[in-house]
Amino acid sequence: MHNLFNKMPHSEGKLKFSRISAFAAIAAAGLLAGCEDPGIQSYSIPAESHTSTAPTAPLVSWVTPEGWVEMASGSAMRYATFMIKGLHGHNVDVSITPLPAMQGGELENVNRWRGQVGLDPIDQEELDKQAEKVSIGGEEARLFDMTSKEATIHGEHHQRILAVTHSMPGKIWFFKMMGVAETVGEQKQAFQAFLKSIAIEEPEMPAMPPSMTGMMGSPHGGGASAPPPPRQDQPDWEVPEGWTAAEGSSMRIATFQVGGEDSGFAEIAVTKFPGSVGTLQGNIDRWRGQAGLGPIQPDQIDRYSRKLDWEGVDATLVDTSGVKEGARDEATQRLLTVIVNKGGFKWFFKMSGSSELVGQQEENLIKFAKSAQ
Amino acid sequence: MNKLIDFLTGLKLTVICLAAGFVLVFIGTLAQVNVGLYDVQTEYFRQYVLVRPLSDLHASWPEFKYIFPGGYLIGWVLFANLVAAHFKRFKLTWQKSGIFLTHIGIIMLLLGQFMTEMFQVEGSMRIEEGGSKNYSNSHLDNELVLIEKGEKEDLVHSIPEGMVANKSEIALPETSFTISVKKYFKNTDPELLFYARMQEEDGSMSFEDLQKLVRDKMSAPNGIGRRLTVVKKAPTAKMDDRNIPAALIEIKAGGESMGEWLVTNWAADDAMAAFAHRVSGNRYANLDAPQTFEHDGKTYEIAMRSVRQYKPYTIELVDFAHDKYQGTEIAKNFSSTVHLTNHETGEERKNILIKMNEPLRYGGETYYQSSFEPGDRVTILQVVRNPADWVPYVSCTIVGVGLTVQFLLSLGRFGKRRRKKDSDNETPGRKKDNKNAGQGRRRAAKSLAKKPTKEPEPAAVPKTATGESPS
Repeated sequence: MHNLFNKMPHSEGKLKFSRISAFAAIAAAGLLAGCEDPGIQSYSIPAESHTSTAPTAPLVSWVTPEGWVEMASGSAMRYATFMIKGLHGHNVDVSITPLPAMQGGELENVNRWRGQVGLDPIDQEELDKQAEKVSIGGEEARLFDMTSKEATIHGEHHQRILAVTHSMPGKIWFFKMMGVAETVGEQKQAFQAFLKSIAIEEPEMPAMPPSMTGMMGSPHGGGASAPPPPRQDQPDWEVPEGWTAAEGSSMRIATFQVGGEDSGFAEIAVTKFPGSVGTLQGNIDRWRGQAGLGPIQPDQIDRYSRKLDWEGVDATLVDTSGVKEGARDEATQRLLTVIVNKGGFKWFFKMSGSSELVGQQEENLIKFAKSAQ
Repeated sequence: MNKLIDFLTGLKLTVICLAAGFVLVFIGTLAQVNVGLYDVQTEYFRQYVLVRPLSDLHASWPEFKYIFPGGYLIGWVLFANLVAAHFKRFKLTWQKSGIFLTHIGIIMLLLGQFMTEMFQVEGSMRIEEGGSKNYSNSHLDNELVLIEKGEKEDLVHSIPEGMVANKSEIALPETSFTISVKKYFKNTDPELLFYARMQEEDGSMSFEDLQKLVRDKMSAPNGIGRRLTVVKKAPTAKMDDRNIPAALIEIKAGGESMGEWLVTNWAADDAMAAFAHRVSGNRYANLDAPQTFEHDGKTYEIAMRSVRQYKPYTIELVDFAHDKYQGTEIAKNFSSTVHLTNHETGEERKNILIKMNEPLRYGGETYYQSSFEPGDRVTILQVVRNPADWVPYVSCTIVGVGLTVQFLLSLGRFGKRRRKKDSDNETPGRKKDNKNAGQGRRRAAKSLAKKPTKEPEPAAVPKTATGESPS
């Protein structure tokens, strides 16, 4: 038996004690380490320059008046929308909208607004008479104040519009306040102060590869007024009437929208993948899965798809319907896809949207896909 | 004195510590629901003594504050108790050298964990393709910075968020600047994003209903405050979320006002700005453009941002790859190809591939592929500096060696006995003696089990403790 400690029996007790105090010291060190209090620190770093991408859209800034609330626009045309709590439970809406310069002259626009509040059109002479001078970010502009003659809001209240146009190279900016007459009157000063605080910073348009535009949101500020430029790999196709080009993800070759608030809404997406991308049944099951539906049996494929009779082209139409997952109104959604095998690629022309509209657009989708061949 | 030493090295203290540890873990778990994981970690476990309101444990309980030993206190006392007990009772013999080694390894593992707790710095680095970074961002801590721009060097004055939250006037030492905090929100959303989130959670809401949810908001007449209004939000305690603070500050230089500014991570951290842009569109483009003002011929920048840990080297993202299984959206692999340039040593390393389980280790830091942004152009690397990261490897090796030694020693003893038994069988005359010896051993074991001795089997003490230690 070799007991190492037994070799120094007399010092044993002492040794133990000094060890204990050593551990106490470690514990105390831990205590101190836990108590550091960070204060203000100063240090030097290599000079930094801001590296984020140059603005691709105009940046408009302002001082928001008290009580104004910025809301999502709900319209791609608008740059910004504000709501103001109005009298009688009717809110006032303020909007900033940039449009390409060719969207009519001042007179035309004023007459359009007059029409909105039920006033008769005026001529240039009357226009100059009615114009009030205001300042938009230090530059002079003309404000027009229009109130309906009749009580057009629920037959009880008058409607009033304050509107200013501001021309810049290639673009007109519209600033408009519209709502129940009393509140618009109360807010007129705030609106003028808001206009005065406006600053518009136009971007330098960088030369961007077309593939980038899809990633950067709407690069044209004006949204729907300027559709995205076509990608280079887009074939020469015939876009059916009523379809408008829209922003899509970078994966897509093109995106279109059709329909509106009343008639339902559908989106068409064109994508292309190399090689054989899954089996037909695999695709059907995947799309059904997205709609919250279960997979199908192999013998049911014919029920959900049919071969398209195009000369020498392998094309299939697939129909998957169901309630779109997470859809707020649980509206029945339908997904129609034309799959085309061509030149080692699989093309997908996918149309998804409200059942009724997709049904109406079925022929258009097939024609469109065929025109791309 | 001896009594005190007996208590400090005794099993009683071990049991008290373990019991306190159990209770701490239990109340910490309860409090996590109301306080959140990170705050519980700092307020309950990384504390020597905790003084917390009862309402932590259940929202309807009173604000009455209670006192309890914190995780550090329990951990250290337990550690000291175990080590002291070990040295007091354990007799180092060759027969037990394996057990000794094993215990040393486990003690090292515990100490290593303490070191990790104390010294580990974690952050993340977000890089766009073609871009580069020489700093990582803290996950949780924020700072208000005033930066004096220079030609070659910027001088950064960093004020911790806690100071902004608690003080109304902050004088910057060695400068003429004073910052007065007019408003401070611990957690915010950009106004557009706030309403969008509310609409998403509650379906369709009227303007009036949305307005009722706004407790307070702020914008500013200068800089980003002209484009961005932030809405106050309830501080979050969720693990997958973080608080984004904002403050309305007035900067004064020797009594002269430099105006009121809105500072927030939304307008300074590129990750937050990119997120706001992606979700809300062009209204929030370029939120992270610097906010600057001039004073005495110099340019100054101000920002509220997550704390930056600067490195002496730069990492550039050449390419981010997000491979999917063909024809599906199922991710197969994420990887980042980066260049690394060290400005101090001039070292350059090209085309380093960082993959999910193949991190880059450089300069005492480890870079893991942790995330990415939609569009597959932006990588997010997790950056971990842990000076004690080698400890678990070494201590596990020691434990392994210790167990092997102990096993071999036992095997040797067993073999010896076996041989002895065999030779005994050959000489029946000695058999009786052997039997008696065996009975003697059994008797001794019996009496040990019956009567709890003052000094329990020493090996048993650290074993229980290491298994149950809250640290």
